[in-house]
Amino acid sequence: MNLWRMMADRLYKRGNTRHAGTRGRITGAGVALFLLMTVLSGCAGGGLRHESWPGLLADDGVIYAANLERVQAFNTETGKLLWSYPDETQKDQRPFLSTPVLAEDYGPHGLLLIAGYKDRTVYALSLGESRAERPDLLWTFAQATGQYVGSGVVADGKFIIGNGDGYVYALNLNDGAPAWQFPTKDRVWATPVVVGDTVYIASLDHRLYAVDLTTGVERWHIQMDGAIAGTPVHIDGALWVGDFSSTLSQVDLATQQIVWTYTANDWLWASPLADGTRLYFADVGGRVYALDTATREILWNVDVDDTIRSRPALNADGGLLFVAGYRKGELHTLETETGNKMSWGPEMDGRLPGDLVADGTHLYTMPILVSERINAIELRTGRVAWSYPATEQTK
Amino acid sequence: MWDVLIVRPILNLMLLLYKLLWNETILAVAVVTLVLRLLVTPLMLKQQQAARKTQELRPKLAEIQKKYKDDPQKLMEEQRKLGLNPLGGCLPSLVQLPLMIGLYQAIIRALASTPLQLLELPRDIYRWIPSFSSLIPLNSRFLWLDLALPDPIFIMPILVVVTSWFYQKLITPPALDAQAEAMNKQMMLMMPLMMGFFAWSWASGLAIYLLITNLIGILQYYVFRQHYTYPTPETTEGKSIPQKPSQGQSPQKRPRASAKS
Repeated sequence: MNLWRMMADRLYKRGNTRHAGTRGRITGAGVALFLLMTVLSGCAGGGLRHESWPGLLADDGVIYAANLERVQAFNTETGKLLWSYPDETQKDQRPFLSTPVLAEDYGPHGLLLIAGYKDRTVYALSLGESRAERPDLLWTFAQATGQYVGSGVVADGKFIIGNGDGYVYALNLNDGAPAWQFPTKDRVWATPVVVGDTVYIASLDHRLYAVDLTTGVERWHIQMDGAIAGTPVHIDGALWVGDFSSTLSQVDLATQQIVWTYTANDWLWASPLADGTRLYFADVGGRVYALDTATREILWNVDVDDTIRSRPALNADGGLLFVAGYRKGELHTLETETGNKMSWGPEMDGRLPGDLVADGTHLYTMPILVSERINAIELRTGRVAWSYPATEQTK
Repeated sequence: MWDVLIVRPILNLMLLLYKLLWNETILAVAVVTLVLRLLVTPLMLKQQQAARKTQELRPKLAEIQKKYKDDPQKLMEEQRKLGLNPLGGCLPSLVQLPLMIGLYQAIIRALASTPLQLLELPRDIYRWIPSFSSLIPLNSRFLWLDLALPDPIFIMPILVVVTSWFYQKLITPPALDAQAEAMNKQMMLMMPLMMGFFAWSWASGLAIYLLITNLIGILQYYVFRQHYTYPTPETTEGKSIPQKPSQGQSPQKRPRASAKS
């Protein structure tokens, strides 16, 4: 703080010895301070749009994208925008980032659950008979006090979602009334996982909680070495959990014990991807691993020299693994048998912190810091089929 | 280079202190601020001495500036003869400034309130010190505050404004003329309000940093008071007239402070 005073003092002295006007000196000091504070403010980084990453859901020929100002539905084949919520006339600053969730069996034709990052509100949209119809707002839930980063899960007539306030909320799908809420000691950024009648909640407080699906009462919890930000994966009665201590843990749900661990090179944030008994996971330092969960053998590991935050995706036959880089923004392609790097797909701008989604014909990415918000890449050819907003190449 | 030399060492020092100080972020911020302030104290005192010398030689300086206004080379020579180095006062600032900005950035990164900020953090953590990653995310709760978010009840901005004003009042050099007096008054008003604005709009962890910086600055003022004592306008003219403290005067004008110089 004295430095700012010193700077002003220097200006003051210089001005005084040269007999400059008072106004000039004050302006000089003010400008110096303003510039310094502007630099410092700039260091804070993170505008509204780039505090987290957007997610999308592909289902039955439609993708539902949390596209910042609004949630939008697109035809997967053509990239045609079907509808936006709220509509284009409304300027919104929520923004929508958390991956939308479908509840097909609720409402007249299904519900779409979305959550605003900044406005801390869950919205239930009642879908039309045709997915191309603009949905209507059914209910909202605005009691959370933190931001929604992760997505939610539908089970037992409830929408269950974690929040930055440390709570997990279970909302009745009919009216949005909270059925229960479960507190953790830190933010919940991972999507809850439901297995049978238990909800498993991973929290940044280093704990994995098992909670009764009906009542929200804790059954047990396990303490991990690091914070858990990625969504665990369920395979054959075990949850596979990665944490910031670089540890991948196999938690046996029957015995409620960690039965095996593997230490990666760096933090594990990306949710692992299961394919049969095989598990693909990546650390934030850029190393990608293939694990046989049956034998607990690491089949291969490859360094793609990038920051990996997002869950990888597979192509239709499971022969190629796609990994999104955050720092360089590259899409890395690896052969699942060997881990060999392949040359595939387009070169794109921006960064890729969000989960990759593949629907059998396309691979979808939602880059940030670039004008195209959504890219659909043909799995067969590696060519960009469409982008939104459309570019000169994809028009 | 900036990150490697400045931000990362400060950030990891903060993590080490966090680990040693019962996982209390506020204590880690306080101690690391204190350590850095102590590190730059010799430079700060040197700067104060240079400022004081300039103040003392002001009449002579004005004289030679008038005399050699058309001969900058000669002017510099004469200034050098008086023992004044035009860069002497700036160099300490150039060393202090990166440290203070680095500290600010380290706090921002360590608190990492948003997912994307947290995603940048692993690269900054020293892996050769075990278990640092397990400390993340840092405990951001302190009393009513979430250190990663602005203070919801505005107590921190008020404290920052008050301490900034007081600190400003302590270190402001005496005014030599009406223009300088006006300048001082503007600064006394503008600086605390600006600090208050940033404390209001930034994460409260940074408001804590501003508050601690002010408190340490005030403490340093009282410990090294003689370095802050400027000659009064009269002594620079060759006369020494005892002055009565009056409202609005800076403490340097008080007889007690003058007597110590």
